[in-house]
Amino acid sequence: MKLPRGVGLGWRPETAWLIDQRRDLAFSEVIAENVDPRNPTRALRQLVDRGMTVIPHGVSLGLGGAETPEPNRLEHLARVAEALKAPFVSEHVAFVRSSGLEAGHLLPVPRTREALDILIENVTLAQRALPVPLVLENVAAIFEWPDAELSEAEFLRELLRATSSGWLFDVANLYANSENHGWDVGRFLSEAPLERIVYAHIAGGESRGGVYHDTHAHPLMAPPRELLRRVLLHTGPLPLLLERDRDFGERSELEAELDELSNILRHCPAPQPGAVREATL
Amino acid sequence: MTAAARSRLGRAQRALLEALLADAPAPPGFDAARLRIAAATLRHKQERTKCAAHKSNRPR
Repeated sequence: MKLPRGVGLGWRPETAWLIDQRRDLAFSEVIAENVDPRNPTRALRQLVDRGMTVIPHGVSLGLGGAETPEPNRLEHLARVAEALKAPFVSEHVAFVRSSGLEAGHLLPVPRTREALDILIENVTLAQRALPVPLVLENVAAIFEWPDAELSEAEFLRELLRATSSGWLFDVANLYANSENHGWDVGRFLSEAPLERIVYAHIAGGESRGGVYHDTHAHPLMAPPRELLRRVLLHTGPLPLLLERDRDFGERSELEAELDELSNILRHCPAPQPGAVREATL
Repeated sequence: MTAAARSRLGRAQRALLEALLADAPAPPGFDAARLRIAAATLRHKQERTKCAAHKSNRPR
């Protein structure tokens, strides 16, 4: 199943009206933990009934954690996928808790062979428990673990190959990491498994004291927007979802941002020879 | 994967979380200044979440 190569907006109670009204949006996504699979909110059911794909997006499995994913969390994600008739679900390459201590946030995983093997095992367990494929997202980080044995691009490539998973490429998260850790974006794009991209995320953030914060609460700044254009030169047009979690601003601002992203996709040149199209699940 | 490997990862992640959430010292090799910034971000996020939960639990 492929998503349409157009712009989507993350479903939140605050964006529901806009998603309902803007019939040009290609797809949507909802935080899976906020959906009751026995009784999804009516606005979500209506979107699904009119044929829109709504991807359940998990934030609490902690697939990069030392513990195996919890069966009740997997069960919930599975039921949400069924309730929304979703073709797949997405989660993060992150850890969110350790021996009972909850971060309440997506934290990066150490990029070592040992942590990679544990992550692969956790993803495999999750795949067995889910009725649909699992797509994995790269996260933003303010700090890095010491003693990395692989670059993030290599780490993702190995993870996606070993688990046959698709990639949710968060371009804003790549921007955050390139700013915060001095990553070489050109090298990342040449090493990353672009052929496994299923869809992409973009979101606003802000720079404070030399650190970029992926807030999902600010308008999209010019530099991450330029990075998006650069990514699209390698990939061609992608299904692209705008994430906004709070401080939604005026209706016109969010609408203008969606228009701008549609415009970027429309004017994105055909992919370079040898470049890749998004993966089929 | 061996239980020993999971246990090593669990200890490392726990030490990092204690630095981020409970003012424990930065584990060796981490940038302590960056962990302080991340800790502040996590704290703000948890306060927002609590505030939102409080609002939604209020009787109507």
